[in-house]
Amino acid sequence: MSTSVLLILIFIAATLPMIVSVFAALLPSARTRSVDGYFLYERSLDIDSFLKTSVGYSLQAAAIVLFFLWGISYGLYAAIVPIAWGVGYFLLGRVLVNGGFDAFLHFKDSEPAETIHGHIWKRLKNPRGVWSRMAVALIATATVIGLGGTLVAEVDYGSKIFLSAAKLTSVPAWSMTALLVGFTAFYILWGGYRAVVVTDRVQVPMAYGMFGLFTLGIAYLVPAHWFGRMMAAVLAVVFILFLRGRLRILPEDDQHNRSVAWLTFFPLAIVSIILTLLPTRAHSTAPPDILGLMFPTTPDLFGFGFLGVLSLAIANGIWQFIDISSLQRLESLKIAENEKSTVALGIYTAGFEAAGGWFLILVAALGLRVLGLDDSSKLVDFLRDLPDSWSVLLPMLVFSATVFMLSTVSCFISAIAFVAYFDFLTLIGLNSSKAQIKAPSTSPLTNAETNLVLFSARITTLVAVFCLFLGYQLLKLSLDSNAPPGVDRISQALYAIYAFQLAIAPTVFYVLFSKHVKSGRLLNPAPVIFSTLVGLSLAWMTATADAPWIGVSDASWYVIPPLWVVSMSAITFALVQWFAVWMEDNHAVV
Amino acid sequence: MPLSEILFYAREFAWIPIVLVFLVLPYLYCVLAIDVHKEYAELVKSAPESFVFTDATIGEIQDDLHIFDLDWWLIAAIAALFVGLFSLGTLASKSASLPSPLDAANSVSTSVSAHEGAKSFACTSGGGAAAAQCNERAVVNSMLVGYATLVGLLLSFLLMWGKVRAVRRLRTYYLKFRLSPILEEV
Repeated sequence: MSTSVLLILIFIAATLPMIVSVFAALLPSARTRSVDGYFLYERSLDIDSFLKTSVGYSLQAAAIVLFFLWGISYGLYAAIVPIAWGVGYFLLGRVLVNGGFDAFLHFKDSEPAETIHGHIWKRLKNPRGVWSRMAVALIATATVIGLGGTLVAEVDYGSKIFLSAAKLTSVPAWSMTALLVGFTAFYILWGGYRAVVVTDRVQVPMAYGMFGLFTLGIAYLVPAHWFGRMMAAVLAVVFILFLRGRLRILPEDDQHNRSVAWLTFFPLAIVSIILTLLPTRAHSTAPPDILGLMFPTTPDLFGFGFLGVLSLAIANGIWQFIDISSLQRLESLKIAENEKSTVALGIYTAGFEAAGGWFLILVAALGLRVLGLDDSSKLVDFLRDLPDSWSVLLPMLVFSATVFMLSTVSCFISAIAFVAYFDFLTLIGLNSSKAQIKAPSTSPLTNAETNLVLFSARITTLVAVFCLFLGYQLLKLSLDSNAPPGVDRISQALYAIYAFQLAIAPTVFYVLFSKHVKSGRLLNPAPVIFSTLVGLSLAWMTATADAPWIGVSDASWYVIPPLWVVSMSAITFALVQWFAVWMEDNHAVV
Repeated sequence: MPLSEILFYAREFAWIPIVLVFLVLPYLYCVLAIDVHKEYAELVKSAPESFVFTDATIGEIQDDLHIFDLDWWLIAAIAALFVGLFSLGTLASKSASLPSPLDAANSVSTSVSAHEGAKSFACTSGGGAAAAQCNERAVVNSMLVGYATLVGLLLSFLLMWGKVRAVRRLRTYYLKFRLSPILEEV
């Protein structure tokens, strides 16, 4: 394929998803009717849209980079990450069925919707006091830093894939990041969560289709021994299972979504089956040691080491419980008390698809490893140099990465707006109780009031996103200045950025599941403040550390921060909570 | 039409797509939006007193008006998108995949006269390889401008289609108004 054609295809692949987003925003279904619709889709999200937004959120440009890195280095051992991610959804569904979210989701009353921070706030002693407000401000800030850092990192990864594919070496990555964040922010701040859902309905099938074809292309190219056929067979099974999962959760009369599911997965499954049945082709070079590539010999357990594996399992397994975006999706769902098991089935399916999507990336990475790619940083050049017209796989990758990036970033921005509206505006006294969303009725605000409050939330979100963008660039600058040549320190800091949000995990789990809280006992703000502060400090220290300093192997120390942050903040929470209870009981006796 | 002529027109008239998207498209939008809003205001005015605008009816009307009721956030996103799309050519010229701008500049000779230019735009000096490189760069640029223009045209089609949909709905309502006294009598 000629260079110019390839370049044009790359540019089209990178911009088409944005054009689709704008066109989707012009659909009447994207119209935001009220504050409820802006943040929570009028709390009437159907299970199919929940699934698509969950998958859109999970499939990330960062996942492409990480799974290619891990797939090439650690082979199938990296599958522990999608497994943990899927298990997280399974646990979420189980907890929902068992009533663990009843108090948060307000099944039985018409209390206003709230963020998880607001839910915690109501269960703090003296909620209007300065300490309680400080506790809420801290956990909300931890969420915004974690979420926003991941957001900018995601755009950074997405734009890097595009810039290297188009060979735009002289264009600074930050300018592309700023443009993409700006475009998505304007678009999502306009349509809110409704726009996120409407675009994901279009984008997720597109992303599946394109990435599926990309992986199938690699499966076709893999030299003709058993691995190529096995890869195609695995893909066929995955696509059939995706289709079966969708058809199980969709009602019989939902012909539109059933057709979309058929059209998305059936052709991919058929092509996979055809590839499996193709006659064996001769190949010129000796086949590599496939088993050795799939299960490489690593000095540590699964390449990450025991602590690394534990950290990855914790970070991915509990993410759905503490992540504001996941909880926003859960709150948006239309759930009746007697339909919990049906909704849980949808959540299991979403988990299976989200984990399956990551597994697809891993399979593609293994395929490319068999083809000879031994360094994930050379992925783009490797695809560009493929023989005949197979370099067309490069625009396909760019397209998939851009769709993955846009759907994830839109969820992040909507979640930050959610926190800005419900937590920050309430903390500074701009969001009155009248402005709270009554579920499931419409907003009690007049149009002018709604517009004013939404405008404040949009400006707050824009300021937050701008500050996060600046903060990220500064972090990047400081990390890159100390990094040895060829080492991408910001990639290594990614799990530390995730860890900021995990600092609130002990508080969230205590408030959601503790018997004391359920029995009506109010929580002292001190454990919330101390545990979050400890978590945030550790996340910052691990994000900016230049070398392994927490006693683990060089190869995997960058995945340790979540374990470190969760365990230390949990210990702090337990100690301070125990002390606070002891003080209260002692004081009561006196 | 030979490639040299296509390239000439693409370069000489490169301003046309930009004018189309940044002047004609907003103008079209404003004209259509004014029309549709006026027509719906007429609809409400001419509704018989017996006709009740229920929440569902208002929802339907608002859905039709949605495309003509955009606020600045989305308009900013669309503007950012088109600025980006029209910058793709410039961005492509920075790509290391294409020959460096210096090579191309040395090999281009562009005439002021349109007719003669059509003949002489092709990268004449600098030998065959340099001319080919120059043409490659120009082709990429033209294709990307064409792509941006196509998106602009699609958007204008969507606007026109929005008007068609709104007018269809209006017709249904006017029919209902005509029938409502008869229905009441029945």
